[in-house]
This record gives sequence, structure tokens and C-alpha cells, in this order.
Amino acid sequence: MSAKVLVVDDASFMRLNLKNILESEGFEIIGEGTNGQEAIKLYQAERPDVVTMDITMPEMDGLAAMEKIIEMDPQAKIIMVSAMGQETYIKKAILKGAKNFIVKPFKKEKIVETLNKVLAS
Amino acid sequence: MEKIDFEKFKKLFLQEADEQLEVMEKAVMELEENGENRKVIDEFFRMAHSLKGSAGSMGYSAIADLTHQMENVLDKLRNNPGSLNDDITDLLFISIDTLKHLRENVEKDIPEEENPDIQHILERFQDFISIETDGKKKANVEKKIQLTSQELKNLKEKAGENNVLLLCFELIQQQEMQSMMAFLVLNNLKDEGEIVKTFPHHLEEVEGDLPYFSILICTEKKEEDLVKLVEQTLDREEFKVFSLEDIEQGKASDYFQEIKENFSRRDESRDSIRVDIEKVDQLMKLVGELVIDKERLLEISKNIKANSRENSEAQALLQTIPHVDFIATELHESVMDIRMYPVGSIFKRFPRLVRDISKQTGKDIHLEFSGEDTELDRTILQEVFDPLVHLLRNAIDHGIEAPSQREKSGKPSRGTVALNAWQEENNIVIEVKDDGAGIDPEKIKTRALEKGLVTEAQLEEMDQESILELIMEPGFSTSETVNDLSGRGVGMDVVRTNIEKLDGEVEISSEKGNGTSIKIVLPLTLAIVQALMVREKGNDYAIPLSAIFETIAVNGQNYKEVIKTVKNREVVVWRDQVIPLIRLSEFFLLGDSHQEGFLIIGGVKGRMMAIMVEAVIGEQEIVIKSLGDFLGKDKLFGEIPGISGATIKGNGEVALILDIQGILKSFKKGGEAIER
Repeated sequence: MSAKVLVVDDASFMRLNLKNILESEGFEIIGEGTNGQEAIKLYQAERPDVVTMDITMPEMDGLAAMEKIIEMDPQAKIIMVSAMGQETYIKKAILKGAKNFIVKPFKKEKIVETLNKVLAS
Repeated sequence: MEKIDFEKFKKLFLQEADEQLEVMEKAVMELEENGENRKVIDEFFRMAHSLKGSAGSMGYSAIADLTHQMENVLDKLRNNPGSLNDDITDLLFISIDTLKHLRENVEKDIPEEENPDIQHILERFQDFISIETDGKKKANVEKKIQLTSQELKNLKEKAGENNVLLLCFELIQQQEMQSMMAFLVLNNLKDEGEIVKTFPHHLEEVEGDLPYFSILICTEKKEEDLVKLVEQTLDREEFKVFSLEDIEQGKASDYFQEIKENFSRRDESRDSIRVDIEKVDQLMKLVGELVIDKERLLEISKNIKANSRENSEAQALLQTIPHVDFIATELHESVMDIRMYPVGSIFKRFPRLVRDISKQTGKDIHLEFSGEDTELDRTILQEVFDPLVHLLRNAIDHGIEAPSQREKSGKPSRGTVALNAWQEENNIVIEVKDDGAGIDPEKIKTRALEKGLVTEAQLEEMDQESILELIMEPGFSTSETVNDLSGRGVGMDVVRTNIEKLDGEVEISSEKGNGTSIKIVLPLTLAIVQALMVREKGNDYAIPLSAIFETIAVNGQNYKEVIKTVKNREVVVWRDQVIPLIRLSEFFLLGDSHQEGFLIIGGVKGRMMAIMVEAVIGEQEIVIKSLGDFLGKDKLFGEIPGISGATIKGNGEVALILDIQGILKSFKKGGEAIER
């Protein structure tokens, strides 16, 4: 059974990019969110195995969305997707329960590896 | 990509470090002068803190360690008002100097291990801090995996029921924000037991690059469970686990050391290689020889052209020679480029000097820089340091007025001295500029007359610039007080002599009341120059092209038009100017001159002369060989004005290089003697 992934990013390019990579590696994309609000709704509805969560997004940012999701499901596996230099956000995310993080721009192998590690935990 | 990023970050780091160091230096000066000031300490602390952060994340541990200790002391100062003393300011000064040095090493990609040992400074800090706190010295455990005996003892006690494990990480996969990976691992481990220690010490605070780190944990869990946990974030080959026993036996620190060495080696090979400067000099020498042979080949090819039109081998050679010419020139330029150094590397040494001088003179000085990136041949750069020191001293000592006097003349009480550098065609200009009192031409005139350097009549003919230049005459000094810094009448003439030795010039401009600018104009490179080869009485001479404006053939027809006699002295009328004529054979006492030949019109700084020679041979690249061992006072040949060195011609013979400036100067003196 392939793992179900929720991709959250406000940039359609980034969502497409992640989708292509993950689908080619046999992951199932069960939803795409463009902001924090959508991410929470989709998580509730689909209960994915893992979430890739962009940090900087309009409406509700990734950090707040992650907190809400973990409130709902303490076992939620969330990987933060960050730009270089967002150390402060990553630290906060880690302290609040993010399982791992990926730095943009990322390599295909890196993202697949990170997802597999998080799923195995 | 990574390399570019690293370079980008390094550049940024260096830039910021400069600003931070400047603020810190200012702060400590301020503290020294005006005593404790909470605001200044806060600012100082902030800068030390930011530098620590960025150095830590770049992996520059020496800088991070030192700033960390500075932070501690500053914090102590904040919490214990009134505890500032000279020992502390001294220590802070030393630290800033050391930081500058370390920063320079970063810029030059010198690996961490080759940094100066800062242990003694760190210990001094710790002495201070620990005296204040508990009267005991603390061991420095920041850099090494090393535990104090007390810590080991505590750990052993715990080890009974628990596992004491040291996890050493080397991030191979993760390239970006490695410190965040460390943070993640650390965060995950926190739930598994007690984190006894981390290396680096402030692991949670580090941001950016952190290729290796380690965590010492005391846990109830089994080793393999812990490994499994870490494997959820990192690959198994990215970390190693050591037991307490391993630590005691030093296995862990050996491993850590190995990682560190591997890393710096990798880093080095990625960015640059370091080469002994002697090897570069040797390369330069060889290139010089090649240039000589190349010139020789070019000469031979001229003969072949004339004599062997039919010979196909000769024609092939003719086609090859221009290529050799091209390659040799390119090679020369490449080697020159290796030898280029930014002038900033010597500018950096000045703020401290300026501070010391301003302290001694009681003047408040702001030092400014521009054009630090301008590059100059390393040899020239080294030679130019002392003259610059002298000029700076002069600017502060003689140029900038006392604060009270400045205020009277409506200037800010703080004087500004600027060090500027830029490239102008084939020259590099370094300027020392101050906004001080300027030079009073009247004072110079009076002093020059007093000292008998000039006559009244001569003074009248002199323009402003020539008058200012009198201060570079030996034995001149306008300072009213003779002091330790500058003055005593030596100085500017030494500056000029040194710069002229480098084939450079010193230009002075000054406006009374508004400051002085002294420019050192230097050739880009010393070793190889373009020259015009001329012949006189069977000897060849080389004249650097940079000093030549024109050559004029003189024969029976135009002799009378070109060469005239004024007051018993021969002159040449050139472009509506009357310039002195020097007959080379007479100048070097080689016998009588001739009526036909060539006039080489040359000069420096608008002072022109014509040199009469028998023949012009042609232009050539020459490699300057020093005659320093033979020419000069107390040397084999004594002082011979007009010769700056020698070169080897294409045919292997030696030709002397004419020193236009020297000829002009000695001619001027000779002229004066005649008139007197």
C-alpha cells in the first residue's frame, strides 16, 4: 500500500514539483493545500500518512497549521518545507513536533529519503 | 552551487565581521576613554554575540570561542557595574586584534588548525570570569571532546544503571541548514535521557553550517534503541556511538579530530590551494627568463624573415614564434595575477595604529577606507606599508589639529583621515587624505630658505606643487615640536625615496585650512615592463616606455631647429616647451657626444627632458634585474645616479635600465651648481 501524502504549499510550481517527484516514487498524493486553513481541512478529511508543509503561506502559515494538526492528531507526521535562513521557524516547528524538515531548493533523493525516514518512525 | 553558496556566505560573513569588529573596537576605545557606559557595553555585547553566531554557523570555531568569552566578560560587566579595569580593556583589545587576525585567516582560507593558538587568551578570560564567580578556574571544554575529572567521576557514578553514550555526527547527506538537523536530533534525544554535554557547547544556538557535532547523553535506553531513534532522522553512516570507556581512552576525540581534519581538507581543496609565496616568486623568475628568450626568438625571427624565405622549416618556425610570444605574455599576466593582493590586507593593520597615535597626540581621529579591494603586486604592497605608516602619522601628528583648535575653526572636533585606493590606467594610487590644517606654503618657503634648500630666485619660479614638494627634500621639517612620532626632519624624503625605488611617485596637494592629500602612485607590477632600447657608445640602455613621450631623429638638417642654446645650456624646443637636453655620453662621462642621433623626450610628472642617444633599437619587454648588490653607497660601484637596474637582452648581453627620474634629479642639482 502506497503512503498517502498531503502537499501544502502556496506556490503551484512547488506543489507540482513535489507531486511529480512523489508520484514517480510511488507515493499517493491525496490532497494539495494552498494555505494553512486548507491544510487543516484536508488533514481532517483525508488523514494522510505524512504532510509536507510550506512555512510561509498566506491566510495561515505552516507553523500555525502544523500546531493545529498536531492538536487534532498528536501522531501526525509533518515535514516542514523551508527556505534557506528560516532557522527560527524550523526551531519552533521542531519544538512543536515537526518530524523533519526539507530545505528549498531540494533534490529529489533528499525529499524521498526524508519522507521514507519519517514514515518509518 | 554549494561552492558558490559557501563563498557567498563567507563574503557576507567577512563583511559583517568587519562592521562588527569596527563597532567593537570603537566600543572598547570608548570604554577605555570614558569609563563604563551601559549603552556601549550593550552595543559591544550585541556585536560580539552576532559575530559569535555567524562564526559558529560558518564553523569558525576559534572566532566563536573567543567572542563567546568576550560575551561572558561583557555580561559580567553589565551585572557588576564598576568592575571595569585596565586589565579588561587590555584583554578586549587583544581579543579584537586576534579576531581581526582570525578573520583574515578566514578570508585567506587558512584552515582552522593553522590559526594562532588562542588558548592563552581564553584562559585569561576564564581567569577573570571565574575569579568573579566561584574563585575556581574552569576547564575549557568548548572545542575538544574532553571531560574534566569531576565530570568523568559523575558520569561513572551514573553509568551504573544508565548508558553513557557519546554520539558523534558527521552530516554527509544534509548540506543545508545543518545546524537545524543538529537541533532536530538533539530535540529527539532530549526525551530519551539527560543531555550531559554537547560539542559545540551551545548546540541549540548554532545556526547555518555545522558539518559535525556530538552529543553526550546519559540514558536508560539501550544503545541499539538510541541508534534506531537517530536513524529516523539521519543515515547510520552519519553518526558513530562511543561508550564512556571509549571516551576515557581518547577514541572519541581521535575520531572527532579525524572528522575535523577531513572536513577542512575537503573544504580547502574545494575553494583554493595554498602555495608558498617563494614558489610563486620562483615561477615569476622563470617566466622572466622565458620572456627574455621570447624576445630573443623575436629577434632571430627578424633575421630569418630576411634571409630564409624559401626554407619551409624556417617558415614554420616563423609561424610558431608569434604563438610563443603570445603564450609567454599570457603566462606572465597569469603569474602576475597570482601575486596580486588587495590593499585592504595592509589597510586592516591601520585602525589600531591610528588609535595608538591619536592616544599619544590627544587627537580624536576617525579613520576611513575606500578601495580596499584594489589589487597590487605583493612585493610592492609589502614595501609600501612603512611609507603609509609614515604618511598616516604625519596626517595625524601634523595634519589634524587639536580638537579645541578644530572647534575654533568651525570643524567637527573629530578629525578624519581617509585611506583610499584605486586603479588609474597602469598605476595603482593609494591616497592618505586628512581634513586637517593643510600645509601652509609660506611656512614651507621660509623653512626651505632657512635650511638653504632653495634660493629666493628659485622659489619665485616654483609653482604651488613644487613648493609643496619641498617637504620631501632631505632635512626638511615644519613641525614646531619634535616628537616621537614624526618630525625630526627625516621622513617625507625617506617616503619619497622608498616609493621611487618602487618606480612610483609621491604627489602632494593641500589647501591651507582644508586638509592635505598625499598620493602614492605605483606601477601595477615591477618585474617586467615595456621599454625602449637605445644605443650609446656601443652600449645598450633600456628606458621604460612609461616615461617616454616621443622620439625625434636629429640630423644635420633639423639640428639647429631643434637644439638651441640658452644661457650656455643646451635645450630642446618641444611642443612649445623649452626642455633641458642631456647627452647620455656626457652624463655617464663616456666621452664627447655627437651631432646626429635621436632625442628621447621623456619625463615624469610633467617635468620633461630630452636625452640624446646615437640610435634607437626598438621596443622590447624587459625583465628588471636588481643591481642592488652592486649599486649604492658602500657598494662595489658606489652610487650611480640615472641607473635603476639592468636587464638581459635577447642576445644574452646585459643592458642598463635608465632611471629618468634619477637623471632629472641629478641634472637639476648639477644645474644649480653651475648657476651658483
